[in-house]
Amino acid sequence: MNKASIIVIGGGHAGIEAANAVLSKGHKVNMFVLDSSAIGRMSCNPSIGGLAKGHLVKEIDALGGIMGRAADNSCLQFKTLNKSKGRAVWGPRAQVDKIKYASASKSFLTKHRNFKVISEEVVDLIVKNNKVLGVITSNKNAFFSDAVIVTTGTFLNGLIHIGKDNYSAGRIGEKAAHNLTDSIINLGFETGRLKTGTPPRIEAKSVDWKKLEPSLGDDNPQPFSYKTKLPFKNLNIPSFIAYTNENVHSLLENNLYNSPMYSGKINGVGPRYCPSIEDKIVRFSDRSRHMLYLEPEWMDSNQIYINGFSTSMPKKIQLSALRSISGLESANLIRPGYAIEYDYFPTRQLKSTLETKSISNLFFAGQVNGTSGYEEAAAQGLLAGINSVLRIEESDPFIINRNEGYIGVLIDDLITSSINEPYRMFTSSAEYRLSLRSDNADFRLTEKGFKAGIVSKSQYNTFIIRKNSVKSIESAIIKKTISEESKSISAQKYLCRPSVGIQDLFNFIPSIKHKSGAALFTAETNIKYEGYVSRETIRANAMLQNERVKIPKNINFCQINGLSSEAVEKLNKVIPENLGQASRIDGVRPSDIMCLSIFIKQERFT
Amino acid sequence: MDKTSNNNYPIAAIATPLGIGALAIIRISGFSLESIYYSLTKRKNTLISHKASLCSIYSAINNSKIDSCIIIYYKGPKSFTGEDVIEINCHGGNLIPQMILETLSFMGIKNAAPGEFSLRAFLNNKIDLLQAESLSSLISAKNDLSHSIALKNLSGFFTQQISFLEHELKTLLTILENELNFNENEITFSSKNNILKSLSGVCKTLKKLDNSSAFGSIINSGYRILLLGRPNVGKSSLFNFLLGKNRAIISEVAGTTRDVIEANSEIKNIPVCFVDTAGYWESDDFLEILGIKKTVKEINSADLVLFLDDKDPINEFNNTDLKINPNKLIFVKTKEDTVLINNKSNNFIKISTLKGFGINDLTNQIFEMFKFKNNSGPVITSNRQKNLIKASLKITIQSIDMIKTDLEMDLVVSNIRDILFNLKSLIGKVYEKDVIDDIFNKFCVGK
Repeated sequence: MNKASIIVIGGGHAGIEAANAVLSKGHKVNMFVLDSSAIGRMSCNPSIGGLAKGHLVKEIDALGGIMGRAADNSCLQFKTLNKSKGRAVWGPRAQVDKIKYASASKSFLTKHRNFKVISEEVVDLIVKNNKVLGVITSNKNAFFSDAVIVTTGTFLNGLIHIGKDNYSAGRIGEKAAHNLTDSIINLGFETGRLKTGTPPRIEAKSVDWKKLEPSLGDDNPQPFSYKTKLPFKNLNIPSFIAYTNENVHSLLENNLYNSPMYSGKINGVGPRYCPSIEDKIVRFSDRSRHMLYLEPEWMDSNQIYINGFSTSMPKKIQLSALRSISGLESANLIRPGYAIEYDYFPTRQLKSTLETKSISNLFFAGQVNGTSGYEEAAAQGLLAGINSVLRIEESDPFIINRNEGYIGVLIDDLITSSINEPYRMFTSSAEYRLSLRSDNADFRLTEKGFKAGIVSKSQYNTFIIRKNSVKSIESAIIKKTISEESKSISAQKYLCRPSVGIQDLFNFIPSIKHKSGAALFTAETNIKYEGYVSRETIRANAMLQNERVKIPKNINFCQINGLSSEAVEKLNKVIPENLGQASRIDGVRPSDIMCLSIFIKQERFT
Repeated sequence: MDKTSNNNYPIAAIATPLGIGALAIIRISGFSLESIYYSLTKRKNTLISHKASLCSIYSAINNSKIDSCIIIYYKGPKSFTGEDVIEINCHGGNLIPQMILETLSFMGIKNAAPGEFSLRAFLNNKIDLLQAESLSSLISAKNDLSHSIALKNLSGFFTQQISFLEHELKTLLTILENELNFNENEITFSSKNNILKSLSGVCKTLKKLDNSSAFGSIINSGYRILLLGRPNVGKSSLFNFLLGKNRAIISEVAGTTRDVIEANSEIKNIPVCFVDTAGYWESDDFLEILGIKKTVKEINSADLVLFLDDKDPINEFNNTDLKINPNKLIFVKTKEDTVLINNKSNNFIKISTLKGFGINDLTNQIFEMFKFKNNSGPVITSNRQKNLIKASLKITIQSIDMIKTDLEMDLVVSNIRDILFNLKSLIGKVYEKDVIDDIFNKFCVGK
């Protein structure tokens, strides 16, 4: 077919992955941004990954995405979080140099001849017969395309709050996009409003570092990407730990009336899991201190990010609160923390390809869908990117099931449940958590991505080598019997003991000794977790049964007898694509699913 | 299951057993049943829900009067099925109920498939899966005790206990999931002891339920009481005497030889099954190895052994090489036909099947042995329930050990998700079509 051309509106994490997926398939991308120097800019924390988010990064990488490589290239410190709680929930996290990160991400795109950046504000969509045909910019220019992917993040009607002041902006110092929201609303889309926040940045030279506790990363970390060359160069730049105290708490408490959240200025709902410091003080009033991490925003940066101190208090209060903290007595603000309210599009308006249900070839990805976090945005961008191409090619959509990856869980959660706070990825959202580990993301997704044409031949070959290596370790262990105190025991059983690691088998099975650390780790985990994973799979399969039962598009839920009125209302709102999705909608009960399944079965034969 | 392939039409069935009886009930369920009432009765009065009224019923086929009936109308959702329900109490016998059913058929009302009324009740959330199962065992109850247990389970008692466990585990899961979701600096962690305490509580309840499953199978098959002794000491006489006093079903055990005869009965409402070993004690091969093997097997599967002898049962027992736990052994001296018996002082019980002496002493002692084993809590009666409870218990015990040895929390949490999944399946909160079909297939028509 001829090269398709796809418009991506926005150059954040979602836009970048969307563009990359389209480019990998050999098609053209026109990326529209307000400011071309802001492509790949990290608007909040200077880190990639973390709990469950690390899984997403690994999956994005396994599917040929950019995020993992860009983070490895710009890494200042690498640390696996949750190390004491079991490897299925380990969260690999990189602190990165924000400047390097942005330029690395951008360079992965600009090396493609088919990639073009257009620095104009998109104000309208060209739609005919419920199909999007292109965009119109504020300069009254029209650009036509085969598909449009909207990845505008918090820029839609963004409103920044600092104390009692508020003004319109996308990010601090960048303008908001107003007209696009209106034009999307005019197409009949519903919008909602959410809130998020960011902590203040302070001057490095104003901090008394000696009073703070340094925190280093892991010694020999595995990088995110299998494309990153080993050994992985890691600067291991420390971040520093500071603590709030009673003085800080009482100062903030006395000024709650100044906080836009508490004075009722903000209408958007904020996340419960990433609370502002004033939220923490109100909600955890029994705690005498909260831990803060001081993280550099780039190498030798004079700008320090205070992780854990998100706030929208007036600048003056922020500063005096900070100065009450040991080590920050003479801290200078570079930029105050702020809260931002923005529009999002409730995701029940989307299909599982992230294409909108009402306008074909129009896709939404990232924070516009009500998610929070770089990783969540990037994952959606990738999915929207590949599916926009498949849509134009009229091929089968690229869907990741809930038992294949966190990306699948994320997207399925988005389209089936109505969110009331920004959606963050958690490992607890994955029913198949033990099989969806960060170490086996490539085993789950790379082959699938290769078949869909977004994973390169070279990445696929690397994976095949790794796969063979893991398999050979596993079969060597499975075949081996070892003797212990004159009794013989299978090496497999021996390895399943809590205190035994794969290195304890080196003497018995010398052939595995020289395999790569990553391969040994995956093989070891596969064997140790096997029993648990198989039980988990039984649960998984019970659910997948319903996944295969498609719900006819023209179904009228009101006609189905036995459905509760609540279920009818919810089903009409979401319009699930299959029975599995229907069963996950809040308020839809097993008996409703039974009625529904009977109805569908009957429809099929009449 | 074809009977559920269309669930919005009205259905009807004769809800009482077929055969001669004074009365029969025909039940109809569906939506907007008023019109059916009006055409059946040719009346024009307003139908009042939950009120019985005397009406004549006319055939829709030839307009002739069929019977005078009491009709009760239940407006949904306040009815058994949650739909509109009409119950017609007509005269019994084979003819009248059948004629009414034919008239209903003629009016386009389908005959209900087995379990279809209960299925609709389940679909409309009037009963849960456990209650449905109880309903099924209630109908097929063989004895008073199983009847009362099924009734108790039907009231939702079992469901309540499972829901309580579910709640307990969910709370625990929320705490543990949070620990996995967040970093040390984001939240404070709960103590290992609290987790263990809550899990041990769950374990205790599951154990109780698991134990009740043994009781549950006894309710269906009865405590096994083995009659043992030399030939001609009166085993069969006692067997027949005990059964003669009670309702009994005698059945031959499948096989080519008449090895043992079993009969179900009750002792003061406790279900028992008497097993007479006459067959092989009196055959020639008793002394051979095969006979002894069979005897030992019977002894092992018995809940109680009555060792009979007409001279000295204790001495006679010691002459055999049989080993029986004294707690499940009662010695019986038979053929005490001449004198009035005093059974207070002996370590065996004297009886006379000829005169009926001592039989009450014997049944009293049997009753004493079993009465404390009765269970006041919910009782597991089906294999499906038993397997789910057993699996849950096993995983709970494993999880407690894992926490004690500080094993990875992601594995512990996966275990707890498993337990929850099992318990949800138990009360039908997980949609499993096969299970639901199976349960509703066990019903008779009309329920």
